[in-house]
Amino acid sequence: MASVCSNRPWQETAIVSAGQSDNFFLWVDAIGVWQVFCREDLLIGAAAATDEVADIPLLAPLSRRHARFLRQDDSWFLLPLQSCAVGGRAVTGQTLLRNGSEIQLGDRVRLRFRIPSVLSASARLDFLSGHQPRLSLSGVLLMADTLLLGPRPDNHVCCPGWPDSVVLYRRQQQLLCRSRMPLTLADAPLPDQQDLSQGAILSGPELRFRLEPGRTNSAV
Amino acid sequence: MKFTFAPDTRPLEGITIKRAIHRGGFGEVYYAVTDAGKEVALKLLHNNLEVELRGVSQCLNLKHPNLVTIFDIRQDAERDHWIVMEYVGGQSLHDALQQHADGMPLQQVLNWLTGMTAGLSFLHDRGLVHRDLKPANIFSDGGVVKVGDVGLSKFISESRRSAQTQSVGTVYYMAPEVARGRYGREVDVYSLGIMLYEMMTGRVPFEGESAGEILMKHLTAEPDLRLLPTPLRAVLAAALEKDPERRIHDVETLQQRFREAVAATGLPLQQPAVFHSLQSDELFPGSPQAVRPQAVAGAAAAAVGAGMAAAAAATVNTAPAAAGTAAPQAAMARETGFAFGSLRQFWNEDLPAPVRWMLTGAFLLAGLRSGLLTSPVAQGLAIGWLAWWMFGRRGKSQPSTDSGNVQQNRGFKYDWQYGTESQSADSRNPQSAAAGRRLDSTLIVPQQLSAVATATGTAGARPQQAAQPRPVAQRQSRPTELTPDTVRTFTFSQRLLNATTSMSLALLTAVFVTAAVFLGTEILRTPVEAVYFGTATLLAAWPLLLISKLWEGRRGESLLRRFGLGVCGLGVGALCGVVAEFLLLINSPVPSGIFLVDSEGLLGNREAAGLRVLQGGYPTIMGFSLFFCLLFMLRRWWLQADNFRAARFRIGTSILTLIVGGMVALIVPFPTALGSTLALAVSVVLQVSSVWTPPELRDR
Repeated sequence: MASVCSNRPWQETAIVSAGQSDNFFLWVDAIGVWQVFCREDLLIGAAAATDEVADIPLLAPLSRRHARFLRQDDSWFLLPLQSCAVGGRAVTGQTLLRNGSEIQLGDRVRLRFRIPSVLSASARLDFLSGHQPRLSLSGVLLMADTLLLGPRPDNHVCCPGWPDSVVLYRRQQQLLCRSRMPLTLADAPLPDQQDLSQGAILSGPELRFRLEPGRTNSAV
Repeated sequence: MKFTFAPDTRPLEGITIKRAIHRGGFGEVYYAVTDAGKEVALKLLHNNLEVELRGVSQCLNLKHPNLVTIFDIRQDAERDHWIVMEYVGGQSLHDALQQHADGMPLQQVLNWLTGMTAGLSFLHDRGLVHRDLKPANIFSDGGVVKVGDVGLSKFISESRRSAQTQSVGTVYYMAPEVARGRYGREVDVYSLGIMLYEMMTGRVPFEGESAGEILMKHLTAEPDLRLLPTPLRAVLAAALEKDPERRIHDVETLQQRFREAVAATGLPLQQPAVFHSLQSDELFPGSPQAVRPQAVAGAAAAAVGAGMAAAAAATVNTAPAAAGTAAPQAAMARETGFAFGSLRQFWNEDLPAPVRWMLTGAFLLAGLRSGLLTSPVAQGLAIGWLAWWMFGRRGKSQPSTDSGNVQQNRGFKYDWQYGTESQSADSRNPQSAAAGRRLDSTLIVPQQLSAVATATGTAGARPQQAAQPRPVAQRQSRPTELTPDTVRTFTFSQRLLNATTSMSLALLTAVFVTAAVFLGTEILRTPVEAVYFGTATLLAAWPLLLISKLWEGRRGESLLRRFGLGVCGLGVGALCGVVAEFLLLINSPVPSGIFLVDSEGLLGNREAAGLRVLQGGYPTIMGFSLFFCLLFMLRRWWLQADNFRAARFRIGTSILTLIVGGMVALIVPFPTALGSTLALAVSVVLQVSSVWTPPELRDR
């Protein structure tokens, strides 16, 4: 694992039951906010005033169903439903996304696709053109099995100033967290296998982040 | 980083905190969402004192696309004040600077400048001054530059308690007159100038290990503009002018002049305009191909949700009465500064080296022969200048020299000033408590500055915040020039080789110099006198060379070294006296005229400790000893012989040595013409003959 410092044992705790929600917001103090999706099929499109259909609804001149992100094994693909380009080239069929690919949706929206860590198939979408959901996000995380939060540039969420990394990972129906740092929940040591599906605020030395379950969208 | 409020709390009715953004100088900033879904930034002002919020309210209804908008000021149940303001999502200038450690591409500099100028100009037009401009307060949201923390600096001056929370980061951008409690819009021009310098070069012009040291540099040190392309130097110099009356008066003018200067450079806008090299002067004029390709940018930076600001206002309280006359004055100052700069540039860059050397020789000989250098007027000038050099330069720690390189010697003057060797200061604890003390003990600093400095020094106890400018230690990790101060390792045989090479060369140089003095001036009349002159020059230069090569690359206390040289000078003087006696130039029936002392000197012919320095108008052996002792003590000779000295030969150094020689001769007393010429000859021999490494070939 990416971590460097101590020999403390890894502590793990279930913090979100995966059954409750397939996405959550990750609010990281002094760093930013990411929306994390634990799905293999995601719809991106324009935000709607009522009956939101897209998982990632952007305030942008797009179709409500503009494209889909699909994960097959450890690879991510873009399935265009409307005009899309990858790496400057217009695509019509399912296209493999590589680390660093620039995705263009319609004429205006540009996203950067990244797979920051070689240890995980989880991907990150950065907003290049300034088109955002209603609440602005630092980015979107497409979680495969693990997410790394920490000081290194190859972490999915790069948190300069953190002493060590935190790993979020999925096992069966649960989302778990482990770290060599002592993490606390509401100022008490993090209990093992705790169901925290209503959301959790985790603190450690020089860090604090909150997991907030997002709405579940079944309209796809 | 600990924050007072947890995510998902509601300190104010209808607003939910989602996460903390950063902790700034005035309090914590949170990202929050209203019940309706509006994103806002909340700034908590940590004080329950009678905070002056009038200034903040003054800014409440300011509307400008380049200023962070303030929505409201609210009080929570604990009666703490919150500023509710626009949330700016993009990168701060501070983040952008970290991506471009060697300077930003010019186009980006111009983009930031345009936005900042528009916002500040709007503010100034309404009689308000920002006063706390710094990169952490400037944001770019979707390409729109926004200036935050408008007016909040009011708290610094009005509430001592809040001043404690001010971080050292602010000090880098603070105009000198702020220390005197003066706040015109020129304060913002100065800060903007500092930021322009930082955007161009990747570093702030005044760095230091403590807030006190940086403040002192704002007050006294001149910015090193040599990293900038020539046309930009005059603009930045005018923006960073110490005296607000002579500074560029408004941000619009600064922007306009900056744009014109950038156009004049003809450099491509996609690249940074700075070449980090010692030879920047040679490279710049008209050679864009020499500019280093753009440093690696675009490394995915953490998309830090930007913090922001807003609030109190500062009224312009210093509408300068003399505004009409001040502008032409500033222009004139600019012109003269520029003329001197171009003269220096002409001398250093355009003249071929042989011509420069020949001209130097000609000037020296002409000066000696005409007697100008030894005339009473010249001596008077020299006394005044020497006094300034020794006593008047307090606070100016890094004298820039005429050769195009910065001397970094932490010598006698520097130690004297700060009472400590600055390099040994603990860089992990940059804001040492000593900062305030240093300032308090310096008479030229007004009380108010001391207060600010003490406050900022105290703030150092807090951990560095992410949103503050980079820690000092990091700033100083940039490549620096290798100077005589650089600690190097030599083997004994290397030292021996350096010393012997230099000493053999010294023999040759001494012959040349003596011949020049003998043939070119009237000082030496007979061949015997010439032989004596050459011998004395060598007798002085050899020990100096030996000792210098022994000390080279080692850390040493300047004062101790001077003392050691003084002792050595006693011996050298005695030897020179004996040689003079041996050659029957003194203590003989027909003593040589060159030794005739025309004045009694400052010491007069008192019998100090029972020893006469003068006998029958001629110096005794004791006189010789005393002369060389003082001469050796008053110059840092080892710097003239160091292989990392700024240039092989610097005429300024030699002329200074000549003046010091003349002064010493007046004090001891000793024949002034001979004394000053000898000092000059030793300096020339020392510089020309000791081994020298050109800057581009230097390594440790």
